[in-house]
Amino acid sequence: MAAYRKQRQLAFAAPAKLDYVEHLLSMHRGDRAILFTEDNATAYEVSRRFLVPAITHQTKVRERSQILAGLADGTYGAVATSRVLNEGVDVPEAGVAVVLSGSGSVREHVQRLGRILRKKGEKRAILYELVTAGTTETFTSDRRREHSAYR
Amino acid sequence: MLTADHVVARRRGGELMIRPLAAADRAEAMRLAAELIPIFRAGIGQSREDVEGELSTVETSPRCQKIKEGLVKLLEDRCAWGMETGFDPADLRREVFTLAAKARRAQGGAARFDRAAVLAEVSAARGLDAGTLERALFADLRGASLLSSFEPLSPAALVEAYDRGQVQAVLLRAARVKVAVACGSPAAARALFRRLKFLGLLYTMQPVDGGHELIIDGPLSLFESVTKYGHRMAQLVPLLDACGAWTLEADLRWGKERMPLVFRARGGPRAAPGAAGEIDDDRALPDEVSDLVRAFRALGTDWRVSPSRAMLDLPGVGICVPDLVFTREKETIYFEALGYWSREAVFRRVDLVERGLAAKILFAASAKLRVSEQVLGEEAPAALYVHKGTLKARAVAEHLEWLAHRAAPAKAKARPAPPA
Repeated sequence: MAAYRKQRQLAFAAPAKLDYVEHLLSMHRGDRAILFTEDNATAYEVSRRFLVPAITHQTKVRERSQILAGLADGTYGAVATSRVLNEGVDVPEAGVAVVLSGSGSVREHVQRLGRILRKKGEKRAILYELVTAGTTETFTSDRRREHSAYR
Repeated sequence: MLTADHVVARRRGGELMIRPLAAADRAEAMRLAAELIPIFRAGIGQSREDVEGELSTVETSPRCQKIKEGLVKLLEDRCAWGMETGFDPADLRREVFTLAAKARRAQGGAARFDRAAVLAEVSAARGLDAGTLERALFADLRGASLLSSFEPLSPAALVEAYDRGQVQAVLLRAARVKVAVACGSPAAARALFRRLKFLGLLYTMQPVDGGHELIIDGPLSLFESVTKYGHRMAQLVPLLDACGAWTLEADLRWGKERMPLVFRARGGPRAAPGAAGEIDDDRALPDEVSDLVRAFRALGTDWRVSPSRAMLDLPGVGICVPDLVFTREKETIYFEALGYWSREAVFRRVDLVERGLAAKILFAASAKLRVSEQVLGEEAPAALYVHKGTLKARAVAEHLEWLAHRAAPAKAKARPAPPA
């Protein structure tokens, strides 16, 4: 079980993925981005490494509201989150989503896409999905994109 | 304390039976205990994440995984965790992330984001070194909390606590518990009843041949605060052990389906840490009653208030154990706080009064229970004080005055507790 968890952790937060996040954050430094992860540990690793706020189920309501307001008004350019922002949160200003890791659930993936498809002027939304090659993540990624929104 | 998930039990018909540790499993439990305890002992000052990492290196068979989880839970209950710094991590994060966002927006095309520069700027402004800032940034996360103290015990004591914890965990799913206890002495009986009051457990009691029978409301019969009440309920077992030989029958609602099952257990007498002995001063009172005593004394009325040692017995109906006794000249009025857990408890007290409880008594119940002060008639030698929030000293004083003007019960049947 411990080995399985370790393997998943390696796939979720592979060094190459995190390096690419740096590139994406730099490329979209004028945009508002949401970085989605499968687990809290990766969300906090992203937060710690790139100094962006993280929202997980451990985040208190007050801080969560402050972070979302900060993303909306441009105080923050990006927010890392595990699953808590998958649904029920409206940030029309967010135009970039980076899926670092996730489950094979089509529903979850479509909901994540929905976070950046809120109408706001002439906004053009971009979704990136980072997948560690040669791991089970490739199958998970194929599964979650079995939806008309991705065809 | 173990939870219902840690219980290793099987069902036979309508009965739930705890599966006692077989010899091999007991030996494995002892081995696990001997390996787990030093990890907590050596973990003082380490983060929870590090301690949990160490715990995960202690391996066992899938069959004994539940035992390991139970032992770890019991050890965690003996730990205190704290935060490293005096800073508010949420404030620090806001400052660091805001500055980082500014820095990222300001960076040129090919330039890389300079994380170290952001941290250095906040560190300098806060008078911290960068390492401290990094640790403080997420110090409020569960995994970052630091083990500040651990109350050690021997492997044998841990396995014994595990055995006892199985019964305690089952009782968390009880709707009603019936206990027969043969107290070793009148003092032991009095200590038991006072402790039950102190825990705020809702019970009725009757003397029976060779001891007492208690009917205790279980956590699943209650209006709210089930978990808190359940934790108090779990302390019943050591209390009974300290008192004398006991048998118990609990009506359970077990599993996700809340299946009605019966659970039986027996035990005692044996010494239980922290359970023995009687305390007669204000420390024996539940917090809310203790606060009331302080506030009441501050009012400066001519009533005297002290913890009650009486047991008001209505033969064939039940015994009431008040928390306090108020006295003024020849007037004596008892007081029992019923809290906010069960309407049934209030109605049982009303029944006691209506069937002839022969002492003046004031009951206090939370307004959350939606009971009316009118449930006790104006002629009754008892009154109900329905309170919102905390117990108010002035309202209690008013109720005492009303009661003082009522006629004394026809025949005084209240008897003091047996002498020690």
